[in-house]
Amino acid sequence: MADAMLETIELTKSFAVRRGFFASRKLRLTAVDRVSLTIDEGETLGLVGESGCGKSTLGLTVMQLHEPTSGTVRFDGEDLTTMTPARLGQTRRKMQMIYQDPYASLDPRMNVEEILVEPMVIHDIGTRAERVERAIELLDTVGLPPDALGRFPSDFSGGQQQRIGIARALMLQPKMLICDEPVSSLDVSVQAQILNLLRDLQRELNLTYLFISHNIAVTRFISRRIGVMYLGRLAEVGPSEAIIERPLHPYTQALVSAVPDPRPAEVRRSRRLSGDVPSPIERPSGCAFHPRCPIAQEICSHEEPQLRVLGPDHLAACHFARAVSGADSRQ
Amino acid sequence: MFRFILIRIGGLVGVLLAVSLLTFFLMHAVPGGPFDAMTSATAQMIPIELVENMEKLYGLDKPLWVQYWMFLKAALRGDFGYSYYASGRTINELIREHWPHSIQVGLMTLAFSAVVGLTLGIISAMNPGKWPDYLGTGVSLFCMTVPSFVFAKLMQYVVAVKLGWLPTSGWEGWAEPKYWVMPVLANSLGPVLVLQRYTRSAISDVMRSNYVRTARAKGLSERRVALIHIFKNALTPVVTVAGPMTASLITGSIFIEGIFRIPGLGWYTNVALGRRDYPLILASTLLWTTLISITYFITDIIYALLDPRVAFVKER
Amino acid sequence: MNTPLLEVRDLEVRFHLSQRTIHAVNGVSFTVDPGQVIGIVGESGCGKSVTSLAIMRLIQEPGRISGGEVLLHDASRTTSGTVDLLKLSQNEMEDVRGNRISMIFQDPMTSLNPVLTIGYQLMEPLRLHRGMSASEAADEAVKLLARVGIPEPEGRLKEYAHQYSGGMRQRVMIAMAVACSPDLLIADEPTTSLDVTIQAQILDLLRELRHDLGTAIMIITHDLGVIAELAQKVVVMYAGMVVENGPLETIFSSPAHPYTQALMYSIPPLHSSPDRLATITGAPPQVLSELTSCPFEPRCPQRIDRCAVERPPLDALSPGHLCACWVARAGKGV
Repeated sequence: MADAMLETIELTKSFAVRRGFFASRKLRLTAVDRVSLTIDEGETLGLVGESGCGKSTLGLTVMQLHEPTSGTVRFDGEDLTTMTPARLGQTRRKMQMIYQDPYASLDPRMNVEEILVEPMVIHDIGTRAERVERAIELLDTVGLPPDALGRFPSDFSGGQQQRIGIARALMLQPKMLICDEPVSSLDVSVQAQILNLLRDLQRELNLTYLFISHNIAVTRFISRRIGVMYLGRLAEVGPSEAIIERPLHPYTQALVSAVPDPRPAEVRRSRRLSGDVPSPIERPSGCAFHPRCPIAQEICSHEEPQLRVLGPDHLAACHFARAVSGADSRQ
Repeated sequence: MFRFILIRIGGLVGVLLAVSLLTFFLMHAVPGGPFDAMTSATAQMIPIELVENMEKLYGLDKPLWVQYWMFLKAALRGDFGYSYYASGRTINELIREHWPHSIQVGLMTLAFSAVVGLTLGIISAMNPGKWPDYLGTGVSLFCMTVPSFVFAKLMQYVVAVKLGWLPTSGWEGWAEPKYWVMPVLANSLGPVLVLQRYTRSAISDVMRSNYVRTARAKGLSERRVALIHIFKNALTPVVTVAGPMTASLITGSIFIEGIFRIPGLGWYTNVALGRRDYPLILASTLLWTTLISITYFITDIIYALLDPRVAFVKER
Repeated sequence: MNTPLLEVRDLEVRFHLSQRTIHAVNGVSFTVDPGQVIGIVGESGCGKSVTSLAIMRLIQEPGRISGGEVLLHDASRTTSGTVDLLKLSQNEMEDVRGNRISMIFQDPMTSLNPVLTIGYQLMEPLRLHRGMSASEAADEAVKLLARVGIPEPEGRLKEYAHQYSGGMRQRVMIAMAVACSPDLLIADEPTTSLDVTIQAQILDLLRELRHDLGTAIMIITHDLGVIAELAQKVVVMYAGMVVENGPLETIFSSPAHPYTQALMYSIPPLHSSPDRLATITGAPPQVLSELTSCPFEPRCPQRIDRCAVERPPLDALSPGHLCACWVARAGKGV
């Protein structure tokens, strides 16, 4: 069994928010609420959810780009939250990130060579020649020619820019990549290229991925396990196939059945949620999902359910999950 | 809402105190006193005792803090004292005498530049890349590169001296256009520039917005789209900039008033500065500050009336 | 005999930029029957949005409609038979927009005027096209809001757009669009920027409205899943032309055009886990001159020599199933 590469324990990130003209009311926005998850070495955990669920914030907090309000992040055996800044800087080499908007994450005034060697420059690794050599090596890995070095980001298409971003992330031989919606702004055919690339890289380099996306089908393709977030909490987590074919949490069931499926022959029983995705500032009491939940009972409005093991490696945070675990979301 | 007003008034008081302090001490920090000028101008050796007596009369021999305190106490009652020069006349009187001229020039400038600036801005925005756009931008470029006083002098030379169409200077109020045509024109350079550019960019932005596209998709005529959907939205940035501009216009431009011999407050304050007429300098500065503050306040209110999103934030 | 509601014939739209001319739409033809849902699908740059804007005559400089016809047939109104929308005057076209053909757009967050009330914007088409008085329009507006699922509609007319979420704004847009019971509703990526669960609600709403009002819907999207949920007929576009056109089942079960096939297989399926996704190398082209060959040829895994020298016409492979491909035609013996 592989070791855990990343482990978060009750990780919480909240922000102070000012409402009102004169700081009359200070509220707390809890974007990530006591999230505990584990990712083994070489595997991908997908994180899905709708806007406001906190998945992107979770990614940033794991990277320590947001300082956690409470909780722990253990990466490759070390506790990131208690590290000195110097040690953290060194550890950052092993954990890199790729972003949603490839053009916005590349400095338009730096050419590709400068963009790629920058990580090595920052960490003072290698001679100039060695850095360029590594850059060319990685360009080849992501499928770009060496003459890309002299060109600027605006000369490339969205898919190619994302490849540059991936190459940059790999420069320091990281063990883990956090992918924050990396294909959401790409066209369908280009998306497929990048997804294949990420898959191949994972196999070749034994990389671990935290893959954040709102697109469930894309996430299923690349993830071995999927976590579903709702208003900052982890509602359900388990093997991809189980989450999609046998979702236990009512929110997951609704989410999966809401995905427009290009297979019209399937007759589906859709579970439509009413109302809007709520704002994380005004969180409902008890189970955050209870106002929209089709099976909510009295207890759900004042007692918050914890994640319970309900199947092999499959957890859900719902008081009544076991009752629906037998039902298939697709009839 | 009430709380909002209270906060703004509190802010204004704070600002006035700070400005008065700063001005007061800066004034006294500048070398020279009000009576030095008199001594050297008359080129007569006025006995030191006389100068000292004058200073005592106006309290100028006391420590600065005491002087400031005396000023503050009087000012809170609305009494800004007497001018050191216009003997026997209070500051309030003097301001009341000179300010109206500046107001007149200022309002006329505002009216003129609003018409010209807005029109040029609108035609520029609605015809991008075509001749009206070049006209509008060209005029703005002119306004931006030519200082108002250079333009004023040029006009005086060409129009008044060479062509003799208008008098070089003088002032008789609203009623005599021959005296205010050139000053208003020269004074308008800055405002026209600002208004043209802001209007053009505001309307361009709005024209390309998604909600204007929606309005057209509903079958509204271009006229309705322009008047109802574009206008109100484009107005807000223009109002924001027009407010403070108005405040500075009505306090009077030193250059314009000086060049065209208009006895307004701008010119008079400049004279006072040279003569170290402290009470007038203080009063004038505080007047300016108050006007700006009030204008910003009014602009904010208008903005909130025009754009419901703003009021919403404030209510919560 | 079935007369179609809308017939687009050989539509051409060009964008005249300073350095080059982009041929955004290159001879697009298709029909929409009354009450039918047609899905136009393609990736960014294929010309699907431009086509819909052209139908509404909302193309602005530097874009120009340079050819073709858009025929609107008299469906339920007492107008004068068939008209070519491209030949109508401004005034006549304004009568059509929001009235016989309506459109909703992708980004609901910016598609409503922020300084006018919801009620005002909703009443505009009613007062303009139906001649209603203010109070009549207000009543009708409340009914419309209720129809599209806005809770407690009575007090809502005086509210503003910023008080609504994305999903609710899109509902308001839909309400505005169906206010005058149009014959055709064009929906350009109506759910792309919405969350998945909200998207499902909106698609449900569109289905209901079509059922209740008999409105035809033209839905434009890059998401094949959305097409599958809603459309009866699918039009696939690439590089400004229609490459395939057929019934939903046919397109999904046996796509004929290599591009359609590649598109289908490159989308990660929800209910299975393939090892790799099929990809198309390269990227869609920008068409800068008249098409004299198949635009997909450089990337096509099935290309033959003819593809590079002659543009394939859109012909029927079987009744109701059209395809613009030499290889597909050869395969069917056409």
